Amino acid sequence: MPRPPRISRAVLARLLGAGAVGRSVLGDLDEEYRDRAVLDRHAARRWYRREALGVAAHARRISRGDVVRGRALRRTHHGTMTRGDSMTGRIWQDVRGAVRRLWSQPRFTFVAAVTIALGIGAATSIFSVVNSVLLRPLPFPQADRLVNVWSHAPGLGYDQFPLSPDIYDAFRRHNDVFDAMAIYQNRRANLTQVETPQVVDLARVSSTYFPTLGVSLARGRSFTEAEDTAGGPQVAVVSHRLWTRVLGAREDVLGQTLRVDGVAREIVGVGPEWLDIRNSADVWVPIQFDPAQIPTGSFTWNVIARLKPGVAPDAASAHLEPLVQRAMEENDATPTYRAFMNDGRYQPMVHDLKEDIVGDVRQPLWVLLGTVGIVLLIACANVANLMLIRAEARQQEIAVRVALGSSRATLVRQLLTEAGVLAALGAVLGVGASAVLLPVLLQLAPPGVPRLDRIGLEPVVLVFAAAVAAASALAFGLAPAIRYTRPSMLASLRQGGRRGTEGPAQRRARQSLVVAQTALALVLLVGSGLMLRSFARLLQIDLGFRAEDAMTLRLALPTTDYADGARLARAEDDLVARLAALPGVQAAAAATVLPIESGAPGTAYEFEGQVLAPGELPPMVHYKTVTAGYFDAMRMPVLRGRGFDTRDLQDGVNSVLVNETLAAQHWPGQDPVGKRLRTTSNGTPSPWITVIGVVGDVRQDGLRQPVRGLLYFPLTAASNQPVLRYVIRGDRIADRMDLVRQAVWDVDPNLPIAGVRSLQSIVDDSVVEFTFTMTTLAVAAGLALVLGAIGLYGVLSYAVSLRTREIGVRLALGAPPATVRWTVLANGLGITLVGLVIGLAAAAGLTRLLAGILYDVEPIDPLTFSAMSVALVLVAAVASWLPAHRASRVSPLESLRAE
Amino acid sequence: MARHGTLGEFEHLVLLAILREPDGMGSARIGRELEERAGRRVSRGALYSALERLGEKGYLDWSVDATAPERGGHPPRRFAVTRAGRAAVRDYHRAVRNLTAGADEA
Repeated sequence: MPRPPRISRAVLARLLGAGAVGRSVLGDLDEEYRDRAVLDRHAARRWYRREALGVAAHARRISRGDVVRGRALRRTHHGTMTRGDSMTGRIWQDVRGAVRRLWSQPRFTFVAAVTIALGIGAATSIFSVVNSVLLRPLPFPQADRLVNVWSHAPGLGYDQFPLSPDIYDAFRRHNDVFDAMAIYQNRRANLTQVETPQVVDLARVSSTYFPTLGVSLARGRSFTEAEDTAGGPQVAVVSHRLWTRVLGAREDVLGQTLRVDGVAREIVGVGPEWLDIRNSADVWVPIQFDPAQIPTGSFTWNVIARLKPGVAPDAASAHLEPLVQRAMEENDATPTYRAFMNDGRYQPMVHDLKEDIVGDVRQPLWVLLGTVGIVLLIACANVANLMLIRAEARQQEIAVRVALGSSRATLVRQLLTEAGVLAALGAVLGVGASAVLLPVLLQLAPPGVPRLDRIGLEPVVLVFAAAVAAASALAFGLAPAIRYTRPSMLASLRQGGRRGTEGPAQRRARQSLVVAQTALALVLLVGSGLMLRSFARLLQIDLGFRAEDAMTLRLALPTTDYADGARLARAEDDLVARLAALPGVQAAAAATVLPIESGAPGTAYEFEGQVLAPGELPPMVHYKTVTAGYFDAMRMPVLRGRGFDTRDLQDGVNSVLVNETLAAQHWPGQDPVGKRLRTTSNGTPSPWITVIGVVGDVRQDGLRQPVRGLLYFPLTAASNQPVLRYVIRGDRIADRMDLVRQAVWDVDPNLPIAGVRSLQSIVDDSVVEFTFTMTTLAVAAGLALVLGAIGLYGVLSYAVSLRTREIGVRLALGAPPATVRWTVLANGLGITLVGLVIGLAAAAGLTRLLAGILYDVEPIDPLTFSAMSVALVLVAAVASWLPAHRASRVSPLESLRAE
Repeated sequence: MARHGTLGEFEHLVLLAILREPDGMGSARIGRELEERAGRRVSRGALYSALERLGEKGYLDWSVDATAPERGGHPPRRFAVTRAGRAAVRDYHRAVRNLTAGADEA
């Protein structure tokens, strides 16, 4: 079948449009061409070209036929509503039109939709985390009224610590601000006489605990007041998790016996499933305080309360403050206790419960949401640029449609509909990707982030995604829609008709989008650069011990079996000795607390020869208890004196090792060995303790916390520490944990082994929250950089393609290609520099938000700022070089043909 | 409301050609009629332009010819003269007759 001349036909098709008239005319000409071509192909082609020219000359009038006919049709349907006139019908028509136009340009549609999907997907993922963690209320009824009550003693340098039962008791009896109050304490407990003995999280709670939270148990009941009194029955409530996993989800669980730390307890209730979150208790038992002997000055208890409606936490704090004095008087507190409270300027602090739970992650999460917001903005800028370029290619079509009587509002509506369809496509892709990637993201999330358990694409997240999509559609659709339907623009189009050069306004619009992208990308680059530098600083920190090739585990020897301190210490020494004797083990030791994992407790000490000023409190010093081989197993250097040996374990010998910081604080310039100190806690001084050596500093309280003074006591019969952390050092020791377990069970087959992890993982976990934020920021910055580079490349390529003819003429007239290349390159770099300056200013303002996350790096770090600027300029240079290179290779001949 | 206007000479011939077929005709046939009967060689551009002009004046109507052989999504149109078109032709002829009657006497 002979085909008419391709180019002529294409031009004609374009001029006539896709209406019934245009198509019929094209078809008429095709048909006649075929008839003629049968006789003489060449003559037919000549004929076609001549006729095509004639039709083209009248194209505007001819293609009006559809409009005229449309009007005529509407006239005949006078008074009746046609589908095109109803509101929804018109929208539907617009949408179908938009889909058709996008479908016909698959490349543009693909790039734009994927770009938007990236932005919306990232924003939706982080928002669903923010929503679950920060925005959603706690799962308790009227959770906004739940508070924690803390202690605050600025005079002692303690910001926030738990409450003491005597103070709680005074608050409970005299306050007017709470509807309910409860006190509890978390600890670990051994569960025995179940299939495998294990360590579980246990909470000792007052009988008011569940009612205060508003929790009703899934089965059975909470504790009665009688059960919470000294001498009451031994009962327990178990979690849903424990009930299903350990107790076999038995229906007759109530009334069964559970052996907790060797004590048989009757199960009276099972908690609801939703109460089970990471690190929540598995067993609750009543505290059973003796009302006549409530512990005083024991600040190790947590207190929760339910505020009366309308009471603010701060008002509650103020209300409770005078009650502290009342507690002192009612309980006839000792002078030391009173001094502690007075000098410490003790105050109760009432905190919102949710704020306490999510407070630490609030800032990183908002930073992340801001970060993906910026990525979304950059994506929108990119798509806006694509839309502008596309709209320009469509100027003739738009001009024709305006000439044919389309109103500006109609055109704006249609262009916006296109943007909306694109955004909707991007949103569907983005939310889909988010549904797939969110679980991966949560795998990477640090274990410390609370409330990550039930994150999902909830309705509110979908609403968010839809809102973001609508906003981005406006962001990238409105500019081209308004710009290219402006009457002045159309007038010039009618005159010019042909697209050749771009006006300054158009160029400015596109360039300012790229400037914005560059600036935003720089903000993210600087942010992630600061995080990277902080991370490098964190890695450089000297831990003070060797974290590699060491495993740790926790053992709690049941006090029912090892009641006497000497027996306990012997058993623990025996365990350490057996572990150390295992093949491949270089050293083994135990300690009450391991560095970084948890801080050490502290108490007041009196240093021999150091006189306190009147009213001055003895200094608070932190301490831990270790077995003799601890410093060897941790690879900590003994700097002066000696480590512990059997001499220190004898009765009547009181030895202690101090760390470098403590030595420098209390005996600057002196030899600490032989100095003495003692506790003074209860008025009657205990025997003097002699310093026998100095060990190196260790980051006990966490990688980012400064080193504090620390005392190391040897584990003796007097220590009475049934729960210890054990360290086992050896090459590839992680592979030999079966041997280790067997060695433990050789000593006591009922002993649960808990907390098995490498020493290195303890270090890694302490920075995982930081690395998570850093990784996300770095990925976002990389994404921003790529999108920004694509934007710059697109704008320059387009500018070059518009100037092909001009460049060709210049080259033909002898302009050196290098000059042409430089002109384009300079254009790109100029745009980048403007973005750079704006970006630097924005970054300087925004990096302050990172101040709480960064470590040892100033938010305005000149090195990071300049390094990231250089990186940005380099990427921009590459993005500009490609179009510049192409421009310099334009062939003059081709450029003329391109017109 | 049909829009009235003057009827050009070429437009008049086009209307007459179409009126030869009561059901109307396609553009190719219109071109052939003009060529064979009026001895006019017509360019496509001029023909289509005249057809649209007549449509705008309300003298012509067209419909897409669904019965025609398939042309790959480019169906032909079938043109028919409207009542206003017939009236315009009648008026034109009456004017010609009236005017030529006087000329005969002269």
